[in-house]
Amino acid sequence: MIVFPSSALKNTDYDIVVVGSGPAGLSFSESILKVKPDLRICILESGGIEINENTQKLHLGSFLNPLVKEDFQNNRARVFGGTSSMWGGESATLEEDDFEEKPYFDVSGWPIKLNELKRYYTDAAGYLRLTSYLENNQPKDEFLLQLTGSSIKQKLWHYSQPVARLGKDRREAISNSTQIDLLLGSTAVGIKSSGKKINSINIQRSSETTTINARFLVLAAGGIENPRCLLNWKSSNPDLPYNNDNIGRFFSVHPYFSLNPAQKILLFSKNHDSDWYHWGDEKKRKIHFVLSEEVRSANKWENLALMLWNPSSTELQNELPKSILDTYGKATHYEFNVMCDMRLTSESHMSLTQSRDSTGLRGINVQMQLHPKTPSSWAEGLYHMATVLADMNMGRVKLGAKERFTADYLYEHGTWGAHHHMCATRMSSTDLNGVVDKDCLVFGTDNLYVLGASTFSTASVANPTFTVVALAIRAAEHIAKHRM
Amino acid sequence: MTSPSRRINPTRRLIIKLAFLVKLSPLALVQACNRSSEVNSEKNQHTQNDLIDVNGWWLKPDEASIYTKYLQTKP
Repeated sequence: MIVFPSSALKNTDYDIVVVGSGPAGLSFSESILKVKPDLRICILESGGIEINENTQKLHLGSFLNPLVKEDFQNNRARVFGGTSSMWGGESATLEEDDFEEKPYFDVSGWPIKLNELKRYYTDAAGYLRLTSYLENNQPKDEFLLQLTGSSIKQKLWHYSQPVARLGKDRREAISNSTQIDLLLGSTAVGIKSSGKKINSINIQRSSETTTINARFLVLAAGGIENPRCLLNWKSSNPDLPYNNDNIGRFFSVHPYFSLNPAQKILLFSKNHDSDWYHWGDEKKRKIHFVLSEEVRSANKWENLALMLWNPSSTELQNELPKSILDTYGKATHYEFNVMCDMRLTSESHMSLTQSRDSTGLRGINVQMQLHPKTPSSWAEGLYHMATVLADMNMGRVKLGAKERFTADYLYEHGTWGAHHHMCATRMSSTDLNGVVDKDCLVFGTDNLYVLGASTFSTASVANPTFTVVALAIRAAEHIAKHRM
Repeated sequence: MTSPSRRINPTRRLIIKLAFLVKLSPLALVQACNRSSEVNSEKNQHTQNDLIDVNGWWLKPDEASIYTKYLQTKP
């Protein structure tokens, strides 16, 4: 049932309390009930049914680094359904290579492999309506650029159709559920423990503080709010059994950059079906270009995804001389941008502010730092893509001077998209460079789990929602089968 | 029974068989494989120096000169 802030609480004892009603928290709650239908679950949501300005202000803090120029409150939603309420609907799976440890990076790799996540991707695709994944909708070779054997791969992205808005999609199911209580306007402001076990959660609700008891606590509040909650709870209760050295460290995004903001144009010179290469409202899938594992490994590069849109066969007329264009027959002009993976650095970190939001929680400042080798890696990788396309007579790229790709230039111009907040409660095999183990259990605790993109061990170039839900369903199965 | 010291290493046996099939000496086959491996390794090394930046476009050298002239004639 849905419990509005004006209603009194009838129950304060649950099997599981979930903090956050976004894609991770909702998919976890509904999935675990499929295995253990008798569980009593409480979902805490600090927002309401619709986004409202006052609850958005609870996102207290800022990005300290000029690389991220977006507003701290943007791209996150405190509302039933969480950030799915503003989701673009595009996502992709991680690749096998994303999970591998890379000796040329300081910190890399996941403590699990792709095959441990694959079957949960299928359930996640159903939950998020990523139908092209379920239908295995692959393009035929003749529609694609012929890049086989080169160091560029064509990777398929999937689209939620129509875009899953979980607050709306799941409202009836949650309202009618006898096992789930969704508490709106309720913020988890502290927790208490006994030894390694978390026993209770203090919640702020309609200006009152209430205590709820739970056997398990699942934190699924988002990529920045997860570390913020852990740091706040520890700050107000130092006896909690987890260590906070790595909480907020390794924070990562995969920023979208425009190296040449005035003229970002990509030209393909061979016949191909542009329908597969750009997105639109009716699309269910799209191809992006990424670098092969071999070329990244040989050059110690991060990955890139080159994303195209707005195809046109006429725009080029004034760009390049006819004598060049005619050499290649049909030419299609696209705009494009680049989404870049970034190697992890412990220099990226978060810290609590002295100021507090209206629930009493301290805000959080995010210091996102690029590894010193990252800008040149992005530049080399991007220019390599341009070179391969030219070598294979598949296209020409207008990028501008390579020298622009320096840390100074990037910090000065910033990104125009860095809204996937990842890795700040990183999954790892040890607590030396992570916060949660392979099952998303916080190191040092017996029953505190974290879900969401903050648990990603690496960022990759894939939009994270698909993997967020797959990991949540996996964690639900793990807890139901092995911890109950 | 063959004594351990007389056994041919399986990799070596494979090379001998393959060399026979492609009508090369085992040594020539190994050298050819090594050269192929170097070529594959080079393929993964980036070669952006082959392209020339003209007005932001990354072009092959012959195209770069055509485009440079084109820009000069453009009003």
